Amino acid sequence: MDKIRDLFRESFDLDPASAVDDLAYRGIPAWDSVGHMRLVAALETTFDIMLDTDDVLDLGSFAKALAILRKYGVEVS
Amino acid sequence: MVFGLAERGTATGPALLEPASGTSLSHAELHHRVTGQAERLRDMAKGKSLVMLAFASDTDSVVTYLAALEAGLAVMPLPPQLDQQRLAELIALYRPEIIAGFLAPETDYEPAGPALRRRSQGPAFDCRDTPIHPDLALLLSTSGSTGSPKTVRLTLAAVEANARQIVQALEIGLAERAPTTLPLSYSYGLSVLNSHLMAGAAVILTQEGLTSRRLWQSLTDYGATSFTGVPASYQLLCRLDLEALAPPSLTTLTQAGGALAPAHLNRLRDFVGRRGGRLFVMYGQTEATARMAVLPPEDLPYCPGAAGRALPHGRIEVVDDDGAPLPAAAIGHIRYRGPNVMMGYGESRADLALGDLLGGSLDTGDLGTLDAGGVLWITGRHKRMAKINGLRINLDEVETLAAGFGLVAVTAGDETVQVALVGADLPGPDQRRDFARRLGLHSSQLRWRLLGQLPLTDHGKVDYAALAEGP
Repeated sequence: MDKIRDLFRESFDLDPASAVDDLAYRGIPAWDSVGHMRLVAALETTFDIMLDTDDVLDLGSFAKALAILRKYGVEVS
Repeated sequence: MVFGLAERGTATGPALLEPASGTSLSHAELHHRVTGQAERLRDMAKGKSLVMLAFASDTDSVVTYLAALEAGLAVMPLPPQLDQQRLAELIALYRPEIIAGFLAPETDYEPAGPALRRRSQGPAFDCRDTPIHPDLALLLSTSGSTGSPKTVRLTLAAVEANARQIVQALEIGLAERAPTTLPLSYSYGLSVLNSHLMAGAAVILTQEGLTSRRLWQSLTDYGATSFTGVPASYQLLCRLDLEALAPPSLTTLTQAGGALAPAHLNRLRDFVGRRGGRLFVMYGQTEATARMAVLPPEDLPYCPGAAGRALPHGRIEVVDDDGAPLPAAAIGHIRYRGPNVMMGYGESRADLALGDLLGGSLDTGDLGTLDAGGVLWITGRHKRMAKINGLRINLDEVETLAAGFGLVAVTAGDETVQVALVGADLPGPDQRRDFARRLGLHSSQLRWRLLGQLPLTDHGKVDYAALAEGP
């Protein structure tokens, strides 16, 4: 889970200590569509998965990301 | 009326469609709303005034924008999410009489109507000694991301001419419905609105991002016929299942703001080809209102990567260092002539008094070549600019902003800005992130280098070419 939090922080250029569990698409300026695709690319590279279009569009919050990653068999515990 | 809205006043077809509220305005209703708002603004302004506008992609903002033009005022559209500090800087620099949409500082501005504030009379501001040129209608920022205070001064004639050029080049008909997939404070995004109103067509006003399911639902519900994007938009679209997302009505794609990767160009050509649609590659600059050239779809298979041909009533020339035209196939400075060229730049209120300094001739700062068939190809850039996510970043401005770190020289990399620091320590990660954010970039798009000294030219100036090529 901490790994995923770090990926969120890196994708949106956030402070390493910042809370990310409540983040949502367009909730912060950095999570725009470009930031969104940066996050998608980071998740795909790190976990060696390929998200389909529906999942890319549904990945609207940290919680949603966890649910989607589980679907792809990623251990998020 | 502006953009021929009065002539289209009888048309019952929609002009503005707003999915978020479910409202729609016909051309006649829009004409009526603009007339009323223009009257209000004229009463408030009492003479030629500057209106600073938070240009959200919604009906109210569009009505105020059109009304300001109709009332003969000058309007300066800005991104609605502009932070307070940047807004305060721009207010101090340009001293608008009217602020629309933003929460203006209460000390200097008083409420004067729905979402409108008027400058209160006070010793700090006196508009009488800072006149605005009668022809000035639109002030556009030269760069979206650095929030540059430098603007492009445009006449209403130029704005309308460019709208007509685009209508003609893209054959925009009454039935077209274009979504606002780019910000209206950005010249290219604004040209979508202007050209569709000019054509008597409709604009779907949405603020949703490209990765929002609501955007694609709106495009389906409202029968969008076209999509406008910069390379970054299309890079994103190509990653998604475009066939599944785009409604069957969507058959026209328009791309400008830099060269598209060949793989994406092919993918999009196949996409429009399968549905009998068209892909228009365009070339433009804010200095020419928005657009200067179009590559007609029938040329695209033979000229992938080209910038296109001059728009109707425009002319593109490639000239040498002295401004003399060069023959076909020679590389030189790209010069554009046309009715849509700016009056000149503005950097503060005092500049708004200036008239036309260019006479319809624009040195684009780009380097390129015209082939034997008259098609323009861009080969490089003469001005110190980087292009990232389709937005231009002025490297000299970045250098000024970075001066606090020490002796710096800034160059453009591949989708990056490179900052060379001399005799200083690398700033910490927090500082690097903050600086990237200030430029509207991700920290990975800023490359920092530490140097012992800067390479210099024979004339003792910073050798940017050597820096850009350096290790």
